[in-house]
Amino acid sequence: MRGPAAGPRMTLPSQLVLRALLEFPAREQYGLELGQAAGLPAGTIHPILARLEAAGWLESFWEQVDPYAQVRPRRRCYRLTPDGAERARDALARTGAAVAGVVRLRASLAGGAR
Amino acid sequence: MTPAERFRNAADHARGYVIFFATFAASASVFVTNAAAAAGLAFASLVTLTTLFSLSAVGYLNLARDLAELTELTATASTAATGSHQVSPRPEWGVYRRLIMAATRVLPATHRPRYREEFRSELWDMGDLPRRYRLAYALRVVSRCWSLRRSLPDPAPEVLTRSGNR
Repeated sequence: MRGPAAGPRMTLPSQLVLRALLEFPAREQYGLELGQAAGLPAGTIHPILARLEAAGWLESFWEQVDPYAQVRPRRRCYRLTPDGAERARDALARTGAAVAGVVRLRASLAGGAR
Repeated sequence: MTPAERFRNAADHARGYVIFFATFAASASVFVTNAAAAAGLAFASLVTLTTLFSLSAVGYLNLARDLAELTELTATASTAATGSHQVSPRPEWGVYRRLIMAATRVLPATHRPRYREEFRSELWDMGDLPRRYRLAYALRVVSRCWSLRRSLPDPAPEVLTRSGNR
């Protein structure tokens, strides 16, 4: 069993999500947007976000918009905490080889598809 | 399908159930009475009554679901009629809503409203995509609800802080 001090599990999808978050650490991003940025299918990242949030790496809040004026429901936004950003960078530096390989592979596949 | 058409369909559906079960109950009671009186087959009566009860229970569940939908549509229609601002549900929302409700039912009670709203808003954002994408999204949410449950602290932080907007 991992204690809270050990941080969240660094699975490959978690690393992809962290990488997407670290691209714009101060920006608020919502679930669909994050999934897209991480290259993960929509609807699969909420458990990862919940783990990161429970570990204090991430904070979430409701978008400050008027749903009636926007004619759409408000979104749940996520943002790295300052401490979380630092710890995420450290964690990615430690386990970054695998995720970097996936990102490179994706980039080369995307390049080949063009 | 417009909300008015959905409203009509749901009303027809609900009326169909009422007529069906009224007819079924009347026929069944005549049958049971005759069968029991003529043959004295208490066992047959018991089996028939049990079957009737089970079918009625299933029927009532479906009826309740349709009536709930009808109520929701009525509320939407009346809101639209009074001109108040309301983010109306997209068409064919029912299937996805049921999947999301089923998925969030697995979560701790304190987290359910948040994730219900979050999933709904994401589905809303996918409104321009083909239906299969939205269905795939809802199914993925369902398939990961146990994983999400394991990842959640209980109770929700926003319940602890008593802040409705965080």
